[in-house]
Amino acid sequence: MNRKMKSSLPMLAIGLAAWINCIGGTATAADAVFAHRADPATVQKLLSAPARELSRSPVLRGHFSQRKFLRELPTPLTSSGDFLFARDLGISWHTRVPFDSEFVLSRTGMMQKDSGSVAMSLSSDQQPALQIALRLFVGLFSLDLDALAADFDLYGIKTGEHWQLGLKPKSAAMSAVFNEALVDGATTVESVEMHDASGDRTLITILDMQTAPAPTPEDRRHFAR
Amino acid sequence: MLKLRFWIWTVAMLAVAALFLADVRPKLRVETDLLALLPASEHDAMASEALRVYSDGVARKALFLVGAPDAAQARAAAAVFAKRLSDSRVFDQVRLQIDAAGTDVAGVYAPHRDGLLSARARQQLETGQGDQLLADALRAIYGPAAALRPLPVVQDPLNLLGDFLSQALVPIGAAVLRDGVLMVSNEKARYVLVSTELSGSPFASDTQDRVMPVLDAALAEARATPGVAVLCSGLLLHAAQATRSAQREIGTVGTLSMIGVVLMVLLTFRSIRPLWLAVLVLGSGALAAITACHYLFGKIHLITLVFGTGLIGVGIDYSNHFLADQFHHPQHWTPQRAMRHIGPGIAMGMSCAVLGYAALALAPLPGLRQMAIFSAVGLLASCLSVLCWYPLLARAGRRLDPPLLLRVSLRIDTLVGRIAAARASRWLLLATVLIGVFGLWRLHFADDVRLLQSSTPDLLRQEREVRELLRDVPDSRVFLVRGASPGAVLAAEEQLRVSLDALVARGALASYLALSRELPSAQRQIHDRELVAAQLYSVNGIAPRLLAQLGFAPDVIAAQQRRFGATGNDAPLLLEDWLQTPIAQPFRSLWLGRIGDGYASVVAPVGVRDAAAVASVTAPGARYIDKVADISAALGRYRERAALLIAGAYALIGLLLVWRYGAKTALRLLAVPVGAALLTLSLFGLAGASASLFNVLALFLVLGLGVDYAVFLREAGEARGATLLALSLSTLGTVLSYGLLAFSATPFIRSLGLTLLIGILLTYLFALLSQRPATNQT
Repeated sequence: MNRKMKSSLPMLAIGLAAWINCIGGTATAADAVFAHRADPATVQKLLSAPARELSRSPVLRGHFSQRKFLRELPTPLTSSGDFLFARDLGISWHTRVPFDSEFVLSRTGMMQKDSGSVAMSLSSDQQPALQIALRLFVGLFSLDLDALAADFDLYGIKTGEHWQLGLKPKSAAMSAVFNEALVDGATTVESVEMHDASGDRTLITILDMQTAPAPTPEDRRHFAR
Repeated sequence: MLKLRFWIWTVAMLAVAALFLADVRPKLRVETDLLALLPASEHDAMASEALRVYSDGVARKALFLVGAPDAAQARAAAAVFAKRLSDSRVFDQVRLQIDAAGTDVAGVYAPHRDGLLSARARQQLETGQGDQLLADALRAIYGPAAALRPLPVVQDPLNLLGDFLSQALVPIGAAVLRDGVLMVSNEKARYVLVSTELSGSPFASDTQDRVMPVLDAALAEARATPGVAVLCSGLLLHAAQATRSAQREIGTVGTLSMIGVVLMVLLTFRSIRPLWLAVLVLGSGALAAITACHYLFGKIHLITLVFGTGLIGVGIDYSNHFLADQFHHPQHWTPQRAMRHIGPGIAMGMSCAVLGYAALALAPLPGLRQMAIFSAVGLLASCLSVLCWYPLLARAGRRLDPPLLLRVSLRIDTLVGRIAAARASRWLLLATVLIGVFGLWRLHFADDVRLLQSSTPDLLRQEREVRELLRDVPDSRVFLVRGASPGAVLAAEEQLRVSLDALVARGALASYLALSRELPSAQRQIHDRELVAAQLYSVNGIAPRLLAQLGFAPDVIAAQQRRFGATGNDAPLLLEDWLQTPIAQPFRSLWLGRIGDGYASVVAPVGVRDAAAVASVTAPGARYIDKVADISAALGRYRERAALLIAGAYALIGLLLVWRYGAKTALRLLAVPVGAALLTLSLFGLAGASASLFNVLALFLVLGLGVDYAVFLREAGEARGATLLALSLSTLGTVLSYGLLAFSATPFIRSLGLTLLIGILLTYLFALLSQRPATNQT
């Protein structure tokens, strides 16, 4: 019985290292903000009071419009839709144009609903990298600086009411998600720009971000399996 | 004649001592793996070899979870801990930071990506669902998961490489990557994972000697910080702990039995000379035994040494018999006269014991064989030392009044005689036989691998906590996959995985580790590339259509089509090459390489929920192996085999006795050790305790120790008092040496000790009962 335990645990190391390895990496654009390295407390001071509140809000929702700049593609791919972050439930990223496709990430896994029906579903066991992505998204959109500081070096500048936050991954593993990110805003987050490991770039503009004290029953339905 | 013998033996023993000092001692290797006592495995030679290679690799890994209430504190403590370990250079590898630099996975696979399909993509292409693949790919490009793509859209529009890599990922249970390290948490603390690999076997004493001081210091340093906890997991700690406890036990048992024996000898013979004579006898026995084991087996097992400490109790018997003879004729005793008296008895007793051990040395059990050889050689050398040296070296003691032990022995003998002579003695015998039979009938056997384990509750708790924190981890149940070539092994794995995937789908299994998951067989890569060529990169194929739909320029699309068609772009990635890349590092222990006339690998299930379903999976070239169950089964089989061998040994001894004394007396002599052995087992049964291989092994020692008790008494004739004294000394010595093993921390040594303790006391009693002096017999 214990013999079993003894001989097996070291095997774990194999599994652990295995998935971590899917990494690429290319250099991306430099921005003025990256000249200003800052710790979470300093960045916190740059933010306006309402923006500081975002990280404590249980629910965030809003509309987005996304432009994706792909290498060797002359015009960006545009899409739009709405999103919902519920701290205890997860993320729903619902693209409505050019097609209806909802991407739902929760602690237990990931689900893709095309035109309302489930097209794919994976448990987080099957796709652990998704959990990293989940934490990252919530951190970016809710400006949870302490959480972000664990995995990224932070940078920040302020012009008037307007602030800009820059992020660079601390470890090579994190650059699987992006090499660099920029978050812009004033009272709330207005845009997020990510430079992907693959050399592509994604610019997300956020419209009408709202907070709520608790998810509605309607909100909860997004995360029901 | 006596002189000649004296000198021959002296020269022989001096030669052995010189050999020991010059050649044996510097090279002596002490084995501590308890499983080395058992045969490697019951499988064929190739499977055993494969399993051994795999187990050796796994055994060298050790994991540590460094925890603190705060993540930053845990990380800092883990960094110091990992630095101490890696600075010491006693580990082959110490991993804390999961740094992907230099392990560019996409870079290794990208040139071969057109032949690497996920199961889902392959199935879609094989069943003509190409359009679905295209629609999914299009959605994925817009979706948030696109951030995880390993290659730009233009280079891999359908993200085939991303799909392949995500199915190659093995679930890691609860660990998450934070700030470049792997973390797990529970309600108490956050833990950072530090994984290590040893440069040698954790069972080798030199590995333990090198690693443990460093590890103990690093652990103590980390744990000294308030709030910081370190949980350890891996064979190393259990092996080191087992070694320490065995060494401590050798120390305690050795010291206590030494003190006991010294006191015994001093009190009885009231002179220093018998003491150093005994040291000479035991020393030559031990030297000869260790030297013989070294040359015969290449190394000596720690357990053999634990047994060896017990040899004190046996080897001293010959010395005691010889010297006790002086109480027979206190006035006219000379060692030469004693030699005539007692020499034949000692030689006969030794022959019986050595014959018994020699029979056991024929057993197909490596551990048993080693103990048998050790005991036989040790006894032979001790006995010859007594017979060759004592006639010249021994002196009669100065005080000749009967010592305390002699008086006690005589009193016991009288008491036993009275019981034997009593009218109720027949009824007593009948009752004993009945109770004995009842006990034997109640006796049950439990052959559990846990008997071999001496881990402390604390180590077991840490092991359990690590397991709970990390959740699904592989265990000792694996599939062994074999093939004529590395490619054939991968192809065989792919067949096996069809069944395993079905089990994963229905929840009988969480996942599994397999090389073919990281690298498909060349055969499959060629097949997949044909699918891709026919449907993705054909004229008007899925890839150009998708690129056009996204708005890529025709010349960009044409360039991608040309890339696919370029020569040299179609070679599959071969296992031999892949294994050389750094990304294969975590999987190397799954590859066993060349075994016999083929190749082999291991597929390791993770998170088994339905063991029966997993065990029933079959595939050509694959074999399911459950090492724990195998060991338990082997313990059972060897218990039966050892019992038969003991019966055989008794039969041999019986023949020897018949030749010497005739059938009737032989039967009476043999009834003593056999009866004692059976009644011991029966007492275990009456107490409701279960018996195992190790009780049977202990009985084999009872045989060696006790077979000569009756013989000595029989040979003693009128010198009964002196022989009684020798037997009491011998029994006491055994109780003091082997009997102390009953307090061992290791369950199987404990059951050995207890069995011996009871067995030898019963033998003593039975010998007195069966061999009454002629005057007392009615």
